[in-house]
Amino acid sequence: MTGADMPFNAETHLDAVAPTVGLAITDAQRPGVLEFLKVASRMAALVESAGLPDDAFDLAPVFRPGSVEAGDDR
Amino acid sequence: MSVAPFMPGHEIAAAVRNGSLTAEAVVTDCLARIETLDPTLNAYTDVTAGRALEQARGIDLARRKGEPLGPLAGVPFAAKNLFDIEGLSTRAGSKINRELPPATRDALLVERLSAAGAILVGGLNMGEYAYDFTGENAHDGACCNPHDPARMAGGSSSGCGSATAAGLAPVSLGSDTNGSIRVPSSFCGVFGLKPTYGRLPRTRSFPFCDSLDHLGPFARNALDLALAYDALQGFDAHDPACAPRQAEPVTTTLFKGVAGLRIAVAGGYFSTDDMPEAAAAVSAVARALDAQRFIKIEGAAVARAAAFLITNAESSAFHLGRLRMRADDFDADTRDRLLAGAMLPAAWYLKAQQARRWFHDTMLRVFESVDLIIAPSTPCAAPLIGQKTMELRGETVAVRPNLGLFTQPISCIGLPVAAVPFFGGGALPIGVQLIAPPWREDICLRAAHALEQAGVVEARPPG
Repeated sequence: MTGADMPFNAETHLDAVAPTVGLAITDAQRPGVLEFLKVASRMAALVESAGLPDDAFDLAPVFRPGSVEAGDDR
Repeated sequence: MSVAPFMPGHEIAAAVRNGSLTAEAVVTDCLARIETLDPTLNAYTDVTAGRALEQARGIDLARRKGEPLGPLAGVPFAAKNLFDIEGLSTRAGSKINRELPPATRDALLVERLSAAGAILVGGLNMGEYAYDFTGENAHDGACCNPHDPARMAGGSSSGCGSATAAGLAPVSLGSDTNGSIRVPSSFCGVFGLKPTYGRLPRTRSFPFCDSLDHLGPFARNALDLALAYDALQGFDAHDPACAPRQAEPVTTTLFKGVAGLRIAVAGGYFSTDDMPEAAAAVSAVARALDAQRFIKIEGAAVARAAAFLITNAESSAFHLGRLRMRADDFDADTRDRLLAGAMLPAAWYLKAQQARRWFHDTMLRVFESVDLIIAPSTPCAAPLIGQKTMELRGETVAVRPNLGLFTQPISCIGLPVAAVPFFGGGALPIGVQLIAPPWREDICLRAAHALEQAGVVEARPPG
């Protein structure tokens, strides 16, 4: 089973994660939040379905330590 | 002498330099026009009349003394209200940020335009925290489209599109994370430039999503856009994403035309089937640029999904403290997305970043045989304010997320884009994206200028 096939239960996810990150989701907020979690789940499945090869992985954010002013590439 | 409302910025600057217009007269006319039209459009949230008149008088004095004036001398401009403006709280379209202390210094790009002689006349309406494609805002009210005030200006740089289209600011400064320069450019019928990611420093602007935030100018013609962009260029160490590159001026090459450029139309994901307004615009631009080749861009849907996840996760993490303490002070349309984004699994975000690199590499291979790609900016012309659904390829879909259908994959990998305005048979404009390889804004702007010279694209004054 791939991530794209795995069922995502937005309600279960919200109830588990919201208190973990310190969010209290009100009744008024809940329907909208659930809807956006489902959208995000579909987007994540789409990304996973791309089947990116391991050797092509190169995280986009690159952290370059060192003084900006003294950097030799500036 | 009064100033014609839609006088191009470069003509204003020339007239101020040669003394046929004073900067004070230009600013006075612009302020009067804002006072007359903005109650209908709601493009401005702040008007900085005092400092504008003071700067204008300074420019006029400098001219009388024979001092050199900048390339944008006396040209009014305005900035999306996520740019710091000295003396104002940087509200970024929100209620919460109004409690911030006033900024003590202008944003760097505001300073750079001012140094070129342009005159800041105010801060502009925007979608809350830039998380918006519509131009609607629960705190400041919807920003309206000058071509039909019942319609959306587009977002999140709504005030930029509206003010520049209405002749309330020949140049404006906006931001684009997923399409926020290109969508309002399309709906309001003006030119917009989203430069390469990392080209323009974001110093002293309020962030949305660091991995994807770009800043850039709006204008009513390609030359003004190029002049503004050249004035904005240059490295700044404060922004860690700012590339260590020298400025690469584009105004000098603007008039070169498009001969020799390999130009293609984006197909597949970017198909305009069942989108008659977008199809007409892309077709007219392709014909004028003699683009006969169609290319299918593999992976665009994945890139859009990646952009969605990166935006959702990063912006939610950034706002997490505010979401915990005062979620109901957010615009409800923004709030629920941010609350959801705070709960995304880390793997979703990291996979999205990997997909971003993968799509970037895919597109670089495409650009080995193409210099410029034509794609629609939006699937349709401006929807009605408050409209929640629209028809897209035979399906009824939500308006809000789908306005960025064609812009999100491109900003996901930071490619430079000039958005150009097309007016077909109807009264409403729609935009076309001219997309070039990284760091080749010059190609985007050359094509924009060539299309303008051919009479195919224009920022037509509202009727």
